[in-house]
This record gives sequence, C-alpha cells and structure tokens, in this order.
Amino acid sequence: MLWCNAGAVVRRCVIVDDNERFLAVARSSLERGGLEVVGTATTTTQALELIGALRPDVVLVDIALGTESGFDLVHRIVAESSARPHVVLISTRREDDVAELVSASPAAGFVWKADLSARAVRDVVAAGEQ
Amino acid sequence: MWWRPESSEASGPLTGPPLQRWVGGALIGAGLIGLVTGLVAILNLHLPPRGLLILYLLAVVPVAIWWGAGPAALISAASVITFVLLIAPPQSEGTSVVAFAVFVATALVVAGLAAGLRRSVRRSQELAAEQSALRRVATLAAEGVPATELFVAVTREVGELCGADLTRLGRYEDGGTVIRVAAWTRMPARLPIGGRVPVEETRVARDVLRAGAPVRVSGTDATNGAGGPLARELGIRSSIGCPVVAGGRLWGVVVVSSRNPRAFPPETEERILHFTELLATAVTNAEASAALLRNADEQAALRRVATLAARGGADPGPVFRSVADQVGGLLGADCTSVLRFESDRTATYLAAHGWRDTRRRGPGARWRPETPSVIEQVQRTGRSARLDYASLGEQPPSLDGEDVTSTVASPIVVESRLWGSIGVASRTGPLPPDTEDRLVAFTEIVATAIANTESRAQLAASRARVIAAGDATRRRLERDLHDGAQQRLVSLALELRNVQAEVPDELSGLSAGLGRLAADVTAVLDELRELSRGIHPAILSEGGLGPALRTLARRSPVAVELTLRLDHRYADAVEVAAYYVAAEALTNTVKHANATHAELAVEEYDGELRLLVVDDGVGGAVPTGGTGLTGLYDRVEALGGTILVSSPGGGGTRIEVALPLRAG
Repeated sequence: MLWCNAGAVVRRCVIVDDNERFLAVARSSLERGGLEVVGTATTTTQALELIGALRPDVVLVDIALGTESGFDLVHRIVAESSARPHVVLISTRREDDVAELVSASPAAGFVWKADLSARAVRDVVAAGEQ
Repeated sequence: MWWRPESSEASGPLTGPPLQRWVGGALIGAGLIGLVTGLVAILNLHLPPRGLLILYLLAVVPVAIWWGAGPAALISAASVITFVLLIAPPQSEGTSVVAFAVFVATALVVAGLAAGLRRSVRRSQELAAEQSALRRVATLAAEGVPATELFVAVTREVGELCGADLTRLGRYEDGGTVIRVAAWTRMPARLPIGGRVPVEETRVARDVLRAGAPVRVSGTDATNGAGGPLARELGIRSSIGCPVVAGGRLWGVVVVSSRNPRAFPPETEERILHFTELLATAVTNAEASAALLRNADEQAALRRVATLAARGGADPGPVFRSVADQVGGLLGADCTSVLRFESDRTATYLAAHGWRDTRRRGPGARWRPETPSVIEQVQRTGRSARLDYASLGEQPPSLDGEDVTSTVASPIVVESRLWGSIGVASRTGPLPPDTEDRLVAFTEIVATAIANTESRAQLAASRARVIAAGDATRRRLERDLHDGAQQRLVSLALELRNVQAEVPDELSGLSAGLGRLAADVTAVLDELRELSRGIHPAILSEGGLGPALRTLARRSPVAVELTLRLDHRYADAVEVAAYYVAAEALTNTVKHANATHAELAVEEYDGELRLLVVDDGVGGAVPTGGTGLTGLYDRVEALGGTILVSSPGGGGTRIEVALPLRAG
C-alpha cells in the first residue's frame, strides 16, 4: 500500500484555523494519532511565516479564515513556499457543499472537521499522491 | 360685339375723366359728322335734302354708345348746324325749325337708349366676370389646394376685377400683429410675403380691425403704414380694406389699392365682400381640417413618446431622442433640443435634432446657457421664452453657423420642479405664435413620462434594496450559524471522540455512550447544515456563481447538462438572483415537471448575464398562485433584468433571464 510510504513521511503538521478552541481539540486528536502539531496559525500571514520556518510535512487549512479565504492561502502556499508541504483543507461545512471549490484548488483533499484524525489526514495525503 | 371693350381694361371712355370724355366724343363726333355730311352731299344730288337729316344719327349713336348721352347731345346739335350751313339752308322758318327740333329730340332719345344699352351690357359683363372669378376661386377652394395658392388666387382675382394696381391679403395674429400672406400687383414690383408688422402701424388693417367693416382711405392716408414704402413706390392714391371673417372671428383683411384716387366705384366693397366670404369659408374649412390633422399628428406623436416612456426601463434616452425627432416635424421647426438643467446652472443635452453643429449638442454635452438665449430665460424664469433674430449679429455664440432666425423654448416641469427644457429653432422666419402653447402641451407629456421613468427607477431601486437587504440578512444568518453553533458542535464532536479514545477498555459502556453522543452531535450538525443551506448557499459567497451552480447541478435528482461561460465574480445581487433563478427552476423541474433531463446555461454576453433553464417535462408552469416563479420575476425585474417563461402544456419549460451587469 502506497499510503504506508506516504504515512511514514507525514509526521509534522501545521494547523491554520481562526478558532482557538478547535485548534486545541484538533491538536490533541492529531497527536494521539501520531501526527506532531509543530505549530498553529490563525491568519494567512502567520501561516506562511510558520510554514517557511518549520517546513511541516502537511498543512491543514480551514476554508473560512475570518475575512480571509482558505483557498487563497492554499494557492499561496503552493506558489510561494519552498517547503512544498501537502495541503489538506478542513471545514465545518460538509465536503458535498464545497467539493467544487476543493477540486478546483491545488489542495491534496478535504477532511470534515468533526471527522478530523491523523489517519484521515494521512488517507487524504496518500489519495492525493496517487 | 363691336363695342365690347378689353375685359381687363377697367377704365374705358365711359368711366374715364370727364374732360377726356368730352374731348374724345367731340373729336370722333366731328369726324363722323364730316363723313355723314359727305354722304349727305352725295345723296342730296338725287334726293330731297330734308329727309337726309336723319342720317346724322349715324354720327350721334356711336358717340352715345362710346362717350355717353352728353357728348351725343352736343353732336346732334353740331349735326343740325352742319346740315343747315352746308346742305340745306332754311327756306321756310317754321317747318325747318320743327324738323330740326324733331331730329334733335329723336337723336337725344336714341342716344340715351344707346348709352343705357351700353351701360347694361357693360354691367352684365362685369357681373359675368365677377361670377366667373368667384367660380374660379370657389373651384380652387373645393379642390383643397394649399391655402397659400388660394390666397394668391384671391388677391389676383380681386385685383383684376376691381381694376386695382395692388392687392394684399393679411392675416391678423394673436399679439397684435398682421402677417401678409399674399399679394398681387399689375405693375412690375417685388412683393414681399410673410412680412409681419404690428397692426397699429398699418392704417387700413388697423381701421378694419377696429371697425370690423370695410374701410376706404384715399390720398396720402392710403400710403401710410406697413404698405407704406411699397405703396409710395407704386404711387398708390386710394385703398379699400375689407375684413375676412372666418368662424365668427376677424381672420384677416383684403386691401385693394389704386394709383387712381377715384378708381373704385361705390359698389367695390360689396364686390370684394363676395370674395372675402368665399375666402372665409375656405379658411374655416382649411383651418378645421388642419387643426384636425395637426391634432391627429400631435396625438400620434405623443402616443409614440408615451409608449416609449411606458416601455422604457431605467434609461429614458430613447424617449428624449423620440421627442427631439417628433417635436421638430410637428411644429415645423428646423432644429430641436431636449435639455436637462443641472444644479450648477449648466444644461445637459439629452437629445438634439436638425442642428448643423452636432458635436456641440451631442447627448451628454454640457453647456452654460448664455444671455440672451431662450434656454437661459427658461432656466431663470421657469416660463416659455421666445427670441426672434432680425440679424445674425444679435445671436448668442451657441447659434454660430446655424442661421437660425427664431427660437422658442418651454420648461419641462417634473413634479413641480424645473427639470429641463425643450427648445426649437427655425431658419425660415419667425416660429408661429402658437409654438409656445403647443410646446407646453408637449413638455407636459414629456414631464409625465420623465416622472414615470423616475418613479419606475425609484420603485425598481427600492425593490432591489429590499431584496438586497433580505439577501444580506440571510447571508449573515448563515455565517452566524457557521461561525457559532456549527463551529462549536464540530469541536464538541471531535472532543467527544478524543475523550472516547482515552476511555480505558474496561469502561466499554462509557465509551459506547460517548460514541452515541458524538453521533448525535454529528446528526445535529447535518440538520443544521440542511437548515443553513436553505437560508443561503455558502458556496455562492465562498466561490461565486460557477461553483455554486455546479454544486446545484451535481445535487439535482434530474440529470442537468451544464454550460457555464463565466470568468469572474459579479455583484452579489446579480449572483444571488442568477443562483435563485437556477435553483428555483431546477426545483420546479424536479417537483412538478416530471422531467428526465434539464439544461442549464449561463453566460456573460453584451453587458448582460444570460441564463437559460430548459427541461423536457410536462410544461404548464405559470408564474401565479404563489409559486417560486413569482419571486423570480421580482428578483429579476428589481435588477432591471428581463425574464421570459415559456411553458406550454406538454412542451417542457423554458426560462430565459437576462440581468444587466452595469453598475447602477
């Protein structure tokens, strides 16, 4: 299985979300699954700085970042970051509602926030690499 | 007949000056006496002289016919003397005297009869001429020739019939002026037509207006006034003015003039009146039919404008252009402008017609009306204004090169505020005195049309505001739900799973309970999601119309063939309207149409967003009875767009929508 190889690579993670409570819950959920959350950001600028400094394997980006758009951030990560991390979009909205936008973006895939786990993230990254 | 004079030669021997008459009669009579005496001398060789005296009647009768009874009496006396001196000297005093007296008496009676006959013939000639002249005019009037042609005919016929040197026909105008509409002269002179002068300055026209009856002036009086220069030039010594009363009012005046102070016999007025009556009838008819025609033209023009105004949406431009075109033709003006007054005292051209300098008067061109100009006067006074230019030097710079001789403008008053003006200009003499009145009638309709357009625009704007406010509220509600309840429930669900994962294996009951809780929270989230999706489609705000419509098509239970040609985001109101049209149409298709296939096409074209929804269902959709279609009409029309629903029974449903993309 290819995801095993990919899973071996995906260890360090950054979460970009403007909801502090969710950041805390997500961190504990992901770390219990073996995904190290090396940093969290609440804005686009913060996120880009963090990614440049920490060079994570995967970045989880919330679609709705207050007044900013998660999709724009995905484009900028892909275009500007030399780290080339995997990007996974997350949202409180269901995948069905945003599928058109997710598939149009360069993100590896989407995970509903209520279903967030290290395994779900690794699955999406693996599917995106296939 | 040998005595018939030239019909156009009004002054013959009978009517000539007395001295001339007597001298002429005496000379011709003397010649005739000579001829007769010669004849009598020859006959006297064979016949007794006394019976030959009667032959002198041959000299007396022609003189009586041509020069009247007076000269004839003189000739009969001269005949007797000649006879006595040359042919037969009296032999017996008594008998000779009696014979001569009988001859003279007979000669006088015959001369009187001959002169009377001559006068009767002449009078009947005149009557016949008058009758045929009247008949010619009546025929022209009946044929409905243009009024100007009829006027010229009347002046010519009256002039010839009365033996006048100059005949003029003037029409009284409102405002105390009289305008010359026709003139005739037997002399070589240029006759100006269309000259307009105050009535007070014309002697004959003024007196006729005051008296309402024929007026006769002679001597220097006849050359006073407006006809003055021309009358002086022609040497006019006597004039008669006769009123033309049409439709119960004094319409105009016929003035006949002559160089001869005694040219017009007493019955002349009566003869002219026969013509003025005919003229009045023709004028009344012509004015009535012209008024009818004009009224019909005006009505038609106004109807065209009103129809345009009623049909037009937010842009009244076509209405103004139509007004400019219609008014010019209707009022006989060469140029027309429709202007809107701005708060900074400038005026904006909205439409113009017939001007040479089209650049200066292009739609949207601004201009500060200069003093003096009719537009400036309307702007200042709010009332109609008129300026007639006698010379081009007096004109404001804006009329440079236009050769305009007369301008009239009237205000457009919209809901009791001075909104703008319609101006007309003529290059051929003054505009008619009723131009202001007719223009006012027009500006009122235009003002109504503008008011309608404005209230329509206001109505559409307020409808659009209501809908936009509703949309904003729904979007905020959806966002509040997302940022608040949904966010917290998502965190809660995830947290429950985290806790469940931490529960030791021996507490399997607790673990299962936590799992059910997490599942419940997820179920609540799903319900919330359905709710918020109905409030506002989040993807429309997030991703725009394209992704939103693709989501819509993907979720539809009926197969949707989607064609999108959109490359950017549009105004919220446009995107929301387009989305709801598509969503409502597809919902109808699914619920009512029993369709197997639908097409949804959206593209930007020619400044509009065009949307087409077609299905192959049962049709019969009607935009009444509170269906979603009614709401679509509201949304689309509030944006100044159009919606066309075609849904014949059994023929599928086709909805076409066009939404304007320009701002405002």
